[in-house]
Amino acid sequence: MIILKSMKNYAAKVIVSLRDDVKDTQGLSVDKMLKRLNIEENANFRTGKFYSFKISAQNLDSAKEKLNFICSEILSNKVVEKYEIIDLKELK
Amino acid sequence: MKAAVVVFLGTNCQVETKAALEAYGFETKYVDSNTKNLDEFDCIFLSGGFSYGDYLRSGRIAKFTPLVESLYSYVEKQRGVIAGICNGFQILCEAHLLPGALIENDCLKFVCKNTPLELDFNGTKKKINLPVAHREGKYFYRGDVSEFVFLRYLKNPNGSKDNIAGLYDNKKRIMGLMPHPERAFFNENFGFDGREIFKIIKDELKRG
Repeated sequence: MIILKSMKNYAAKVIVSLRDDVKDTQGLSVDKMLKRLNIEENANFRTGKFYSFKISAQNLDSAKEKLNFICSEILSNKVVEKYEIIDLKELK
Repeated sequence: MKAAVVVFLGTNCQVETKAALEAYGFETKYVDSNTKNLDEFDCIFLSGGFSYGDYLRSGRIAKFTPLVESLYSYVEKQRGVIAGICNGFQILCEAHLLPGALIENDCLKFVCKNTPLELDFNGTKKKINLPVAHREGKYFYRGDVSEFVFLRYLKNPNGSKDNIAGLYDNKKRIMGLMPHPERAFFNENFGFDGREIFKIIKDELKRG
């Protein structure tokens, strides 16, 4: 891909986790442990994966479009996973 | 009959799969992830292993290789049968060639043992034993897939929904299964029940 000088760089942060109706076994294990230690009765613990990367785009809208594509097609599988964009800002 | 055994970086069951296919009378060739034309083959085998280190999620990176892209046109042309074993099944699910997805086992461990299964193909039911070896083999799906299931666990080792161990697509041209039939084939292995699976594939190919 040719990166033109007018392209801006954006920093993206994404969390991918299992959908709510999919049993999160790792989360359940932590949940049980918290209960056993008398720290939290009902933590409803969910686990996920955090990704941080750089996107080059002409403006914020096209950066968002690119990011949504990366998240839905590459970082997650819509059958079992959902993604949440927690940050997208321009790099100075 | 010509068969292709796909070898991605990290695939490790290709030798057993090739040996089993050759013992069953297939002319077998290894193909790598850059292969773009698969028309010369009557069946494609995606064998087990850890393609691309199972990074992101198992089968996710293999999904974007030229080979998997060429599988879509292979399916469209109805050229032959595609079979995914273990990691191959995960790749087929990730590529949405089969419904559902495979996620981490309920026990959070790598399960490696001989498992009793029920084979239900074309109305005949049979009990067989096949070895399983996976960490992400819990099958999850939405909707109804019961009519496509041909293999179910009798003692569920991973928490798969409805004990599903293997299924095919609506045209019976793509099949995926978590147990390893190529590891139950020769004298040195755990029995000979794996031959049943290869027999199904051969019969499907003969059906045309």
